[in-house]
Amino acid sequence: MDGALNGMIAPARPLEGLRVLDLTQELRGAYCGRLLGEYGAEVILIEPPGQGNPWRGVGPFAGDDPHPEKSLFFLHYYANRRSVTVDLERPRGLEIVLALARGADVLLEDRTPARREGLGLTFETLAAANPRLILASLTAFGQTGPDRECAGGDLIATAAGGLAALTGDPARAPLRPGGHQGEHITALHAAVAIMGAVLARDADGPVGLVDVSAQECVASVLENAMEFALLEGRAVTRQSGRHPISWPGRIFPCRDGYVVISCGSAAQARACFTLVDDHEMAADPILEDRDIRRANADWLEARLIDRFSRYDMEDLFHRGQALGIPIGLVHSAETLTNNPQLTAYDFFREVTHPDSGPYRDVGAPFRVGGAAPDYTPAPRLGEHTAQVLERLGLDAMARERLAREGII
Amino acid sequence: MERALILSGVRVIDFSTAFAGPYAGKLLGDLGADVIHVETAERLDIMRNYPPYLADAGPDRSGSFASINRNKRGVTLNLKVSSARGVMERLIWKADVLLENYTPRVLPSLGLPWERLHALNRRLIYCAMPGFGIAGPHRDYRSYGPTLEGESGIAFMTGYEDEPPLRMGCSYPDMVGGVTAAFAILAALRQRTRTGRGLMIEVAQHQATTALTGIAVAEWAVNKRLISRIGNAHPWFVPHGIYPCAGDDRWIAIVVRDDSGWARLAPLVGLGPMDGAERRAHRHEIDAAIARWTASHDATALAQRLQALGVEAYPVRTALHLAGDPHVAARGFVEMIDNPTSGPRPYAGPPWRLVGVPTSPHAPAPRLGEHTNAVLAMLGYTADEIDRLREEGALA
Repeated sequence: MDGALNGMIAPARPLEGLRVLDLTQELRGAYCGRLLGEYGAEVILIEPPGQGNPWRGVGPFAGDDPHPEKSLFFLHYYANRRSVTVDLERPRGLEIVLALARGADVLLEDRTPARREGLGLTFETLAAANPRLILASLTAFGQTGPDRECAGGDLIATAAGGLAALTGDPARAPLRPGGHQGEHITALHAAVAIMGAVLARDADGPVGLVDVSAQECVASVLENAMEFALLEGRAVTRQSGRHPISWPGRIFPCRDGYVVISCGSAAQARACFTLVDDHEMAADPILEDRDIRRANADWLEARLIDRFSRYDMEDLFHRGQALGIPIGLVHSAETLTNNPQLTAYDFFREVTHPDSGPYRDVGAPFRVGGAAPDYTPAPRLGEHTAQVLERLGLDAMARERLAREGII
Repeated sequence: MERALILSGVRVIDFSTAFAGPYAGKLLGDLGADVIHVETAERLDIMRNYPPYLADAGPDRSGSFASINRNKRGVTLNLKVSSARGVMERLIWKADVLLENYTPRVLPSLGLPWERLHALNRRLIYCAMPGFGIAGPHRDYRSYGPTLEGESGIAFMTGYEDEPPLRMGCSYPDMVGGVTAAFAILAALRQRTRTGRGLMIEVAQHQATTALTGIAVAEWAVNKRLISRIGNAHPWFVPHGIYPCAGDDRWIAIVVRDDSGWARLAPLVGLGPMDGAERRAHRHEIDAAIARWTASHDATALAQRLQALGVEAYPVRTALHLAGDPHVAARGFVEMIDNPTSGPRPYAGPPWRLVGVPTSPHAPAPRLGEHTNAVLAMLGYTADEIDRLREEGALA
């Protein structure tokens, strides 16, 4: 950092003091908990004794060693938490969870409504335990409507929410974007709704339920495909990675990788040809009008693709930016790690973990008061059981008895 | 007594343009904040000329603009005119939040660096949404949503198996930046209730999007493997795919995460018991067998049948399907808003329901400069002063 923000003091823990009880099993709930914990909330993850959270069993694993503390999914998505083992499916376990709910602000969960209620976690039970508790349910299809009991994670959400249908080639299968974006975008919208509920509760009294539908979250980020559907009755189709309106707007292969370009204006479109020394085309009046550019996209694009393949990606990126082209590199995790912009911000976290060994994780999505928030590596299974249950007045002897019965 | 809207009394100056910033303002408006969108007629927000249109084309008729700027009031200010800056400063005095998504040079060039903003209003929360950052070697580089798909590492992981990367079909990083900023602003509002002081938030859209690459960075760091394009497949769960169904461009998504799920699906597709490792080793054969089976089925009926068996499945929906979908309709996701220029038009609502709290009244997006006079009057300007500002070109 170049010290642009020197002299500003504000801890990057705006959610400090917020207590979240985390019963999540899906990546949308997991990522939402990570986000709340990242900015200072205390997030207590309840895991079943023995196997723990299901993501502990999902690969890839560090060193390809299938060990519950080495799942990269668990290490990433369950950072910034405490882990308490409680068997929610037994009455005494449920009692403990409800006792923890009494001291919580938010109960974060992502099971289908019937599965949640099957555990005894009805809205009424939770409200009776703690009327100020906010039940935040991040389900695939929400708490109401005929499909509310349909289960699913990322692929189901991106298919159901209209994003897969927009991605890929028109003649082939719709495509899920990489990296669980259906789950991430749901977690982010849920974090907004949860914070809204927290502010409303603190100002005006209890807010019972935050009902978030992954399908609707995905449908909210389709750029303008919902508007085309609602206003013109028209389906925007998959366009092989081409932007539906701007041209050129796609990924171009170059000599050593890929760049992505998204031009909004004629000047930018001309500059793309200048960038690859096609000065004849750069001067062609055909580039003046957005609709004419699009109508000629096929041959114009073939010409650009041929030219781009002769240059290196870093060269295109820096010269393109200097020419005013909105151009970006297509980074892999490897080149991302060395990206000078991210390293200037010290974006990545170098993490030490007792079981997995050192690893690297992505950084925080935003900075508060000039600072990035702290990062706590994902907890070991049951790492905080004693510490957290102590608060409920369960002393060592009581905990030992519960452990013997397999409840904690 | 009617309960207040969640953010009633919170005033947001939405000094942003295009997609990312306005999307943050929209979410705050959906929660009931008084969002004042500051724009200029001198250089129209590109969304005002972006299809589709509510009626025939025109700056007040873009359906895209209408969607991401609903529940806002609109003020036109030409900040190149010096007296407009006085209006902007008065707006900042009266605001809780200032939101902008320009390059980091713009606010300082208007005489409004953070130090000045903070001096004007100690309680102001300032959310800057630069593309790459307010610092760093790329701080002045251009970034649009699609270019950040590449810069973030997401595009590298999107595509058919072993083929080149593909852009996804929406400007995803813009929406990511917007929703991240909305969360950041709400977190800062909570912070302010305890400290009484405003603060600055930096949502670098590049970082906000890179934060969503999941395990890719960890996988490279520890196992030296790059998570690349594998179509709809998953590194662990098999099957995990989108398969053809009967009809034109009809598809179904099916996922099995464990052996018990496979035990329910396998007999239907004519395959035998296999554990996870065996399924991962035979992913292509399994996908082919499922595709042969699904091809003659109706996607909706098949999804219902599989869900009833406890197998995750759902038909692939287009936005057009969603516009007429019974589940989506039952949840009231699509709402009508009356627009003065076009009459009632359907809008997708916020993707959450807060039970027991009223949702905002859903006003249409402002016509260009629609609320300039009303907002200036609220700031204490007299009619004569407003006329004078208009003559000076400050309100264009």
